[in-house]
Amino acid sequence: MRQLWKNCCDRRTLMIGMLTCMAINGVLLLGQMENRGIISFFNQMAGEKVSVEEAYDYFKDHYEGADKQGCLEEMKPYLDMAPEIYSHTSGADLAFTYQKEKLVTGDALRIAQREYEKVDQRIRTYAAAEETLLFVPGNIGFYHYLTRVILLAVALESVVLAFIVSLRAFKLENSIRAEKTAYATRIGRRIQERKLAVLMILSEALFILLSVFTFLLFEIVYPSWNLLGTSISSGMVLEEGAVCVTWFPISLAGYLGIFCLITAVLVVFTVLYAFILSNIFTTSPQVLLAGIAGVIAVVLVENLIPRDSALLYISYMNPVHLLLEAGHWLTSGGTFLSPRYYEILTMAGWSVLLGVCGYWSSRYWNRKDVC
Amino acid sequence: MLELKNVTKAYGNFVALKDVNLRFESGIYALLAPNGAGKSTLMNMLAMLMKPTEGEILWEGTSIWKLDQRYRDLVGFLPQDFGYYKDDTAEEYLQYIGYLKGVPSSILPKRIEKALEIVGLSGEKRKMKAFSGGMVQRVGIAQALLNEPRILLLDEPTAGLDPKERVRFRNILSRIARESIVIISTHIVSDIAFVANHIIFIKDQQIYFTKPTREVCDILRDKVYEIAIDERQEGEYFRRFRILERRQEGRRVVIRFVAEKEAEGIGTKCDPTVEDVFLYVYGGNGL
Repeated sequence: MRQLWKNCCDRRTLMIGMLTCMAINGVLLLGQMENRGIISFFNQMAGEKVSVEEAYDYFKDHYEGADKQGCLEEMKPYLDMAPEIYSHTSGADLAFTYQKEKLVTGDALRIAQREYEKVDQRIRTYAAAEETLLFVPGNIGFYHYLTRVILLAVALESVVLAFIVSLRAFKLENSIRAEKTAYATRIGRRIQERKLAVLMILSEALFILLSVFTFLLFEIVYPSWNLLGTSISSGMVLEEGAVCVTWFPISLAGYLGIFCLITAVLVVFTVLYAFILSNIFTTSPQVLLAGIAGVIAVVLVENLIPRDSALLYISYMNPVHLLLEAGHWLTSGGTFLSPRYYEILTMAGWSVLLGVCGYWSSRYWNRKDVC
Repeated sequence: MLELKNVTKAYGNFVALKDVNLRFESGIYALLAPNGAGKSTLMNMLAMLMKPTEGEILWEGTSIWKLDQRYRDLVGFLPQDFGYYKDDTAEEYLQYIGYLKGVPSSILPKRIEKALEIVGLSGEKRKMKAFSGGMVQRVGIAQALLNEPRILLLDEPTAGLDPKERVRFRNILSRIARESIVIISTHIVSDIAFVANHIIFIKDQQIYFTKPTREVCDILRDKVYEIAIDERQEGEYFRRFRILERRQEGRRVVIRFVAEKEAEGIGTKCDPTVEDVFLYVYGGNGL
């Protein structure tokens, strides 16, 4: 068993993969250094209510960027808007922005408008509950980095790393031409199933390691521990300057927890995907090409669905789309929409589909000629 | 007893093996044929790496595919093109194979020690990437022995080995083939001529014949001759007889040939060897 783990954990692949991901996340993180002072300051102020003028003054005193004046001018309208942000936002506005961005019409638009009506109800609820604390007064770029870029990066890296590590492990015997020796044995013929279990654990461990490194580094560079309790739906603005609204009130810490759960599920899907393809195709290049082709096929299908069809949202219910929405999970904004139960239904549906495919591919592999 | 009944293996329109009927009991069996005749296909089927297209393979009367794991536990297999984990030592590699074979961890260290001792690699601590071809092949034989197999399958075990390693292999084989069925596939006659109890010739994807080794040479009894001739006479002998071997000795040529009818006076009669039979069978028209 120890040797099985050793064969699955190729040190070189793991080292190169992890170091590359850590380097990318490090570069992304250090690209927002001008916000360090202001975030650190608000970390100390966490839990206290501040006025717009006080927030502006704090920003003026603590923002470390080169173009302070330019940033202040950019931030001022958002700061002015922040306390009343929900009063100035409606589901209809968000639906309009969404329609402009995604070019949806007909049934697709009607569905979007219906979903945004529910978003509107939540906006009213949050406004009534005074959930309008300004989240983290960094610049717009920092909001975008924190709420989208770094989450998407960690999710993508975890999935890609899981696929590469799994591909290498599942095809190890073939790549070193030891398949005949291994597959002629009692356990060897079923070794792919044992590897599946090992690789799921290993891939999750890599994801946890990467997440811990990234978010620990984030905390060191931008001390914000006290802000973890801040509500997500609190006037945080994103790429189009629109608010994002979660399905339910949740803190930043809670949202990061959900992010980890969904990413963990996607990592499991990835290992299963590699398992299925490895059972069907003989060599690593074949598995890799098939893997890429599968992803492209899913994206193509999405893009081929007419923009006025209700099927559009059904086509979004796939792991690729789910992965690319990292950072937008369970939230809706001006340019993105999370229909109710989208994440849960996608994960549940694909769990069944991949589970069934995994079972049948395993049976196929156990019966086919291995040379 | 291991039995093949009407076994055929086809890949689409190409038939790799046709209608094979064989029986194996204790002893050393050599599958003799040139490359591409179907030896490896047969070995792979016996190792359960492939399923026959038709027919069945039986162990003690039961299909090996029905026995599945129980049959795999009986088999030790050294494939052609034996691959290995380069960064492992021999012992680490054998630990992994022992795990794959289901050898209990309590007895695996002893089995590894014994297997390495048999193949002459006791105490070898280097990684396998530092091994010579012969040493790697010996590790291959060692891994085949780990589960103390009743059926030992060796597919081209001496390919790429130098003469010294091949002699060592023959010695190892004599030692391990006591109460097992040992099946060796090879196209190198000298590797098996002295150790095999039975020789199976495969030709045109079918079993050509199966005989005890001592009877194989009877096929060419009193038909093999040798003669030294002038180079200019060579063409005539090539037209008249089935030539087995030709060697140059100065300006003369020594040819070894098969004469179907009495050829006294033309050459010196020789005792046929297994190699003669091999060359005769695969050199052109059969018997």
